Amino acid sequence: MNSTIMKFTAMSACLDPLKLLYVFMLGFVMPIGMKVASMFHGASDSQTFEMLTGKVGVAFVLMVLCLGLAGNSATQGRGGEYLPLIFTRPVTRSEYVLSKWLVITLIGGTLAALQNIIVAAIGYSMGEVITFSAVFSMIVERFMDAGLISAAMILTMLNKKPAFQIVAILSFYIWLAGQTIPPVSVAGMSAGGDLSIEATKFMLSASQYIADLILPTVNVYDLISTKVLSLSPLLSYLSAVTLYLAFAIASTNKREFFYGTN
Amino acid sequence: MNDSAPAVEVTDLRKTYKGGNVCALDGISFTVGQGEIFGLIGPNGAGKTTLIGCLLALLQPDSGSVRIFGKPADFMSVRKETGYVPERSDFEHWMSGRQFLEYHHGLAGLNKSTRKRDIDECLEMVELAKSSWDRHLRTYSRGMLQRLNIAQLLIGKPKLALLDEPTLGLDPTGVTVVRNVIKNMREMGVTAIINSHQLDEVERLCDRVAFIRQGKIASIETIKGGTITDYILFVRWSENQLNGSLGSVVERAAALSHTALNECHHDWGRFRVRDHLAATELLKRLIAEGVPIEEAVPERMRLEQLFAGEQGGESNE
Repeated sequence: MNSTIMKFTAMSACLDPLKLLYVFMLGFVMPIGMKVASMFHGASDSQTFEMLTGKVGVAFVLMVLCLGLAGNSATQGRGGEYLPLIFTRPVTRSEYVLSKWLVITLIGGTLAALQNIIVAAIGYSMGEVITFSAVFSMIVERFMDAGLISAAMILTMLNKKPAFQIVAILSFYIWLAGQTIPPVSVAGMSAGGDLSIEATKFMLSASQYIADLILPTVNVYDLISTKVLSLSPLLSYLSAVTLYLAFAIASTNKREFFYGTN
Repeated sequence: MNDSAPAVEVTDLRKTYKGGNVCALDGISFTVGQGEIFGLIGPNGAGKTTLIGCLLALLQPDSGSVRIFGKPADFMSVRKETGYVPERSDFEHWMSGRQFLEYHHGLAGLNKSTRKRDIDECLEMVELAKSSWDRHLRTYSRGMLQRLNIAQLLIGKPKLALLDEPTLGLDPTGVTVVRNVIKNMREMGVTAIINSHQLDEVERLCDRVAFIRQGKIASIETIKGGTITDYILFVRWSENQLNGSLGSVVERAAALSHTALNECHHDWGRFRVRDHLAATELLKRLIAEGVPIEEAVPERMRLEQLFAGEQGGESNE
């Protein structure tokens, strides 16, 4: 890990007013507003709220945070860091990738955990029953989400092969669709039609398969409260993170960072 | 750093792009001694910037080798001793000039305790106005960014500096700053390789210059006092009896005296000679061949002439 890269990546994330506004609105104003509204009206939390306070929320926040933080300006001209110059310094490419990953994970995880804590505190102050282990699990999960999603995003941003990027973005959208389909499909089913139900089922199972493959979930609460410990979700998560980082390092090592090279 | 090894040793370097369809470097070999200031000139697309990319190990050559101070170019110990001024750099707009140098000081792995002093020194050396040091880079002009680029080179305290168009976008004062920086580097024994289209700057600063054309080194010239050490000898002769065989006679004399015949007309000729001894030998040979010489005048050669000559050669091909 390189402390200089980490320090300046954190500064870059914190000193861009547009990014801060986006993170503030999507990460805090919207979910907190929704929580307060649902508490006052006695309604249950909506699907959108669940998304914004879970893995999707982390993904959206990190998507913006990652822009400009890792390899956005490999060759020229977008007001970002200039990788050819950085790689002439005594910094290994693995050091670069791992330092970026760690700091983006910490920033994304901290923001998402903070949001979860605020939301939980609002619920608690209005009478919801919230245990310490539930809050602890949420915090650990958000950091784990951030670690996984930032590794996937760094890989996508540093590997400039168009075919790879198309597959990565498509996989991300299918995964995202799986998280947003339920409310849409319910509306669609009420309008009737077997086709809609079959299509939704197919979409959900495809999305579930891709989600398990590319962004495996670890339910930390289940993991710590169960009597029979199952390591497979944890291993699946760790192998995904390791693979993303290993591929990101390998493709960065292989890539030529210079004028005119992709 | 290996004290006896040359600063740069390039052997039979080849580099192609687009799956081997575009040949950027075609078997380049040369050596640069420690403390030498070496220039690269040549037309656009000749392969100069690709060569710099290979020297920095940012580009992987297809074959051949690059050794910096006796070690492969991609060694971390080599990177500690190398500095680079890119032709087209990019800057993080939110940073200030001082923060940019802080970043590079940190990346270079230099001692944190000297950071502030080092940064101030470098910013002063490139004569960047003090009021701009803490301003965001988005407010910098092109020339100010180029000065910062030069400061970024200096902050790493390199033993080998690679400068790709260092005076690009600079006003005359900025050009003077770059000139002084390179002179200081020479005094400190820093080796520098300068790629520039500013031929007068290259002439003024470099000890030797390589002319690169179509991925090959067409010639390497030694420069002294702002001119190439080789010079042109202009020789005028009177109308003579050799009319029919003048060309072959002059050519033979040139070949025997190891000089190059550049131009030959019925009453004068131009020869490229290495030194006075070669010039004397040429004149002797011409006289011996029966050429009635009237006068011989040495003409100092400028890079511009060489460049024009080489370009002409290219267009004739």
